[in-house]
Amino acid sequence: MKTVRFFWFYFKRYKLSFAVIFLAIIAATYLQVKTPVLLGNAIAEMGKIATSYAMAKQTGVTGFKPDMADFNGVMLNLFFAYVATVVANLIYSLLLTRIVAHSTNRMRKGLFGKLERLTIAFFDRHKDGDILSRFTSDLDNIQNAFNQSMVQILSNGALYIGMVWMMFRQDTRLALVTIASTPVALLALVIIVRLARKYTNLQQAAVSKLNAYMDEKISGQKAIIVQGVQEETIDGFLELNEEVRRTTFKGRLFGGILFPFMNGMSLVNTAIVIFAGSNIVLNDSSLETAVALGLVVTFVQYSQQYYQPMMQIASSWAELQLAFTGAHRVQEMFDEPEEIRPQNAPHFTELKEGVEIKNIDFGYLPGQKVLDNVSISAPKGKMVAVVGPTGSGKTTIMNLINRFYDVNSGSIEFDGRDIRDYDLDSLREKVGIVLQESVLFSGTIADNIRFGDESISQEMVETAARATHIHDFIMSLPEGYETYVTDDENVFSTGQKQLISIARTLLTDPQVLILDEATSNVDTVTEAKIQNAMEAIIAGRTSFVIAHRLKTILNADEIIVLKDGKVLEQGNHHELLKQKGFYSELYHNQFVFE
Amino acid sequence: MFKKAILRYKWFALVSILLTATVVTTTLLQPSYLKDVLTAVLMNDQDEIFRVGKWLLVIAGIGLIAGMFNTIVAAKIAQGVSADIREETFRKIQSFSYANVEEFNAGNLVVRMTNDVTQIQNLVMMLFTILSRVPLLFVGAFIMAVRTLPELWWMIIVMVVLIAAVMAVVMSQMGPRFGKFQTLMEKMNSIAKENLRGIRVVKSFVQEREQYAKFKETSNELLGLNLFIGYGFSILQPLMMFISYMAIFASLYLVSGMLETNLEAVGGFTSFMSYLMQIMFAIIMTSFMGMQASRAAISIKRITEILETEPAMTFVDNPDEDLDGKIVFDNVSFTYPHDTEPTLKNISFEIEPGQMVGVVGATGAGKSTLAQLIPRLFDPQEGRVSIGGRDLKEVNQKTLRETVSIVLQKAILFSGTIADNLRQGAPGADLERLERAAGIAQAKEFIDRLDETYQSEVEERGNNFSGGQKQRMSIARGVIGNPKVLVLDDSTSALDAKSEKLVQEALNHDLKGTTTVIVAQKISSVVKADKILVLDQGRLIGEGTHAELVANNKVYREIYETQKGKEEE
Repeated sequence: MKTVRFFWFYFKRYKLSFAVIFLAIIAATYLQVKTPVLLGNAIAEMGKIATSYAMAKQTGVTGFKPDMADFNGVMLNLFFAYVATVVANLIYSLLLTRIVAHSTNRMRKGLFGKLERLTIAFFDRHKDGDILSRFTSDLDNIQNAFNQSMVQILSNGALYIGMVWMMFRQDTRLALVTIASTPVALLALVIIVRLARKYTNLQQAAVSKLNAYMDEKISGQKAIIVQGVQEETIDGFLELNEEVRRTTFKGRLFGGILFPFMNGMSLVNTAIVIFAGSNIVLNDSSLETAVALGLVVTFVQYSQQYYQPMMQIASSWAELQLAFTGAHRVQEMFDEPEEIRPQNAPHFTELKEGVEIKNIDFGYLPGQKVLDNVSISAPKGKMVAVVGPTGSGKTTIMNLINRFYDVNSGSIEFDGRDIRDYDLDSLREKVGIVLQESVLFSGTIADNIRFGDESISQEMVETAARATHIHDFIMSLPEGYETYVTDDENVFSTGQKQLISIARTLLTDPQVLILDEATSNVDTVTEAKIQNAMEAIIAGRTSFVIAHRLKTILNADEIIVLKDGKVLEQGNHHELLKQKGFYSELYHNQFVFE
Repeated sequence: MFKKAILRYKWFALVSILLTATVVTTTLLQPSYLKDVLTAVLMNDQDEIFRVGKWLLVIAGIGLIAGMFNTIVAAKIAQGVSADIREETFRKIQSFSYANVEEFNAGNLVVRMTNDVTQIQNLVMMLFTILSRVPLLFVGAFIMAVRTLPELWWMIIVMVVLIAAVMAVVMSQMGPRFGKFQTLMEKMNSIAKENLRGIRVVKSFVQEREQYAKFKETSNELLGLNLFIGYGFSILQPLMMFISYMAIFASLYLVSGMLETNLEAVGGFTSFMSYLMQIMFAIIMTSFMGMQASRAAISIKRITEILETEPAMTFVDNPDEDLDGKIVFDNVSFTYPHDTEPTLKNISFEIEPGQMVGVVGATGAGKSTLAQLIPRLFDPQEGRVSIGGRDLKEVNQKTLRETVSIVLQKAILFSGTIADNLRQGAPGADLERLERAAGIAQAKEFIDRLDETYQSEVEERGNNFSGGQKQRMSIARGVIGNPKVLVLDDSTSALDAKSEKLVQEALNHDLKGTTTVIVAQKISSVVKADKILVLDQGRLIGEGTHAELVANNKVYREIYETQKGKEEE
């Protein structure tokens, strides 16, 4: 059902064009079926002419000129039929190309547009590769199917029906001879297609396994060199490669055998028709020899073409299946719920009093409680540091403050108003985030720092970069701020990407700041810069910081100690030390969290 | 490389060519027999029909069987060739040294092993099923056509020229567009990928509309290209049809004019038509195959690149040795393959067996580089590195790996059990040994807490463990083999201060005889070392205990002061 809905949505505006295409295909099919008859007629006429020449010779008439009128008439018909076939083909090909190209474009854009409206939960629940494949292989399969398979199946289906009908109209006996081998062929066809699918699946599974093995090992080749385990790695490879060898052979075999089989059947069929057909028509005294000749020629053409439709449909069928699966998967995404945006809600522009987190419960899955009755108070301008063991819920709180997720119960309020009652875009614009993993986008460095806000001048960009100590490095690059970067290919180390990230957020002058301090494997120089940059962006702002650095924690106005989703202790550093509880012990053991 | 791979299957290839020739012959013979039959019909000759008919059936049967057998042979060759190439390439990659691995990045290598090998496989399959048929078919059909209706030989040539010309024009237009198509697809995919990876950033900066606009632009460009290519092919097919139809039509007319003198021409016409169709088929197939072949040629080149890479380092085949843990660097200088400036300059020092030595210095001073020379991941351009009194270039690989163990900065684990991963350092190690190594690395605690302890599954890239846990397992793997020399290249950076301390204490205590070299960012990690080496811009500018260096070495003192300042108490 999803599939039907999907295609209906995108193709319904082309109803008229589809009607034309349908008619064109019918016309082309009719003509394709008719032309062998016309050709047969032409041959028959030629046969008559030839015979009349022969008779003239026998009876000794000289200067005999046969009457070409009938022949010319047939030739004229044939000519028009040929031209009409070409025109019909042209019409539906061009129309279909246009429809499919435009529709696929709309599907792609629509899918991306939907992507931008989906919830963060969707992205967290699905693997990137899985989502991406909907843009790539699924849309590809749909496009291919409509450009090729759809037409093939329709036209060949019509062709087959038309052919059989026409054959029986011409001559029942010859028609029967032509289709005599069908049951055998059909049976073989079904068996081959089934086997092909079975072994191709096995092949793909074995190839997947091998590819995953190679990917993992080659990515970790340095460790393999260091451990000196190349031999074992090769052994593991050989085992999987052997499996691929076996399954590929069978997969290719059954996948490839359809074509020669059908070709062979065509040859056999034609032979049968020539052999038996000639016999039949010759022994039919009611037929003129020339006409008999014409019939044989007609049916030879039919027999040569007879198995083509079946073969085309069989090979297109698999493609069509893929397209249907693809459509289903794409529609699945379209059916996903979008972010909840309040309509006509007031815009959030400035934080005047503070942020209140009131008794919130939250779980990513139903029944799960990652946060249990958490309350935090952050008056304007204060910095709240959140500490706790891995999995205590620190990142989750960050996910809630700018509504990447919504709480299950309780509320988060800015200036006394639930954040769900603010216009979402304005809320997010004013809440700045600095995440653990920094992401760059394709564009220039300057583009990345101003990230979409065209009103930000080059000067402002450089000021922000200076504040985060990344300006000098950028200027040392040959193209400076105009250097083109992507997330995969760039000149920045992890630490430097973090600095760009901070500069980016700095420029938005957020009212509320969410900052995750965790950094991995940064050298001490960059580490120092990051620390400075973070201090710069936090200063005076209402901030929530997942703290890892001692200095940050010591400077915090309030420290929230989270454990297992609950607030264990809270207060500033000295207050907590005095309590001699969990925090105090952590501090004295230099924060052993794991 | 490609030719060699196929030559291994030369007998199969020969059989395939024979079978293909058989199929082509049967395909070509049928129309000529058809001509005989039709003539016989015209002559009302029943016996002739019977005779020819029998032959027709036999030939068709042979064609059917030969075709199917050929598929079997082609499949055998295709899978064989690709599996062989894959094996050869993988072995080659396993023979790579560090420098080679850094030159080709991993992602690139994997794509070559997968996509490119598949392209080659497709090419081989196509080669032995369709492509081998085409030239035979073309030549054969041409000859037979001329034999059947010699008067119309020029018609065939006209048709061939027309079709070839049309195909050439169309393909030349399409070719460059295909390339552009690929580029646009990649661009589109990378925009999508960025939005997946960075969706939080996009939403936080409220950039959904802008990203959509970016995507839309590329998608519309793609649309334009799609239309061009699509229209091109939409015109191509009917055009081909038209040319062939006109050829048939013209032939009919010409034959009708020949009937006075040439009766057989009528029967001959149908065969002639069949041959014309076969010629056309051959030409069309050739151009499509041409496209596939050029794609495969690129793949062959990419694989050849790997196979022709010289390993940056070779090991001698000397007998195994038992070395002690004394490390000597004698005037060592080292430059990375693509750098202009040396990273290490004239480094000389000695480390006695069993000592714990720290290596410190600012970022870029060359600490990691020095560490990587000890297990001979690279060779110095000048000078000598020796362990146990033996120049590393004289030691065989097995001895080297057993003597020196390095724990890399980034912990790399593989899918399998924890035990499997640890055993990479000591194949066949029993549980006791595993536990001992884990204990030293401070990993025993968390492993014991797991349901299946050492049999717990490690997911791909160790994704189911935290950074700290991965590092600890990496250290365990490094110590399990009881190496004489242990190098820790900043491998405790993901651990908290307490754990780091415990690891070092354990190393000191349990691996007393092991020479330990610790490369560290923080001086606090190596304060207690027997000796500390201070590097600055590739030179060794200080050597001594912590106290000595603080007193006598300006650079060391500066680093120490800066770092102390950052850790307030």
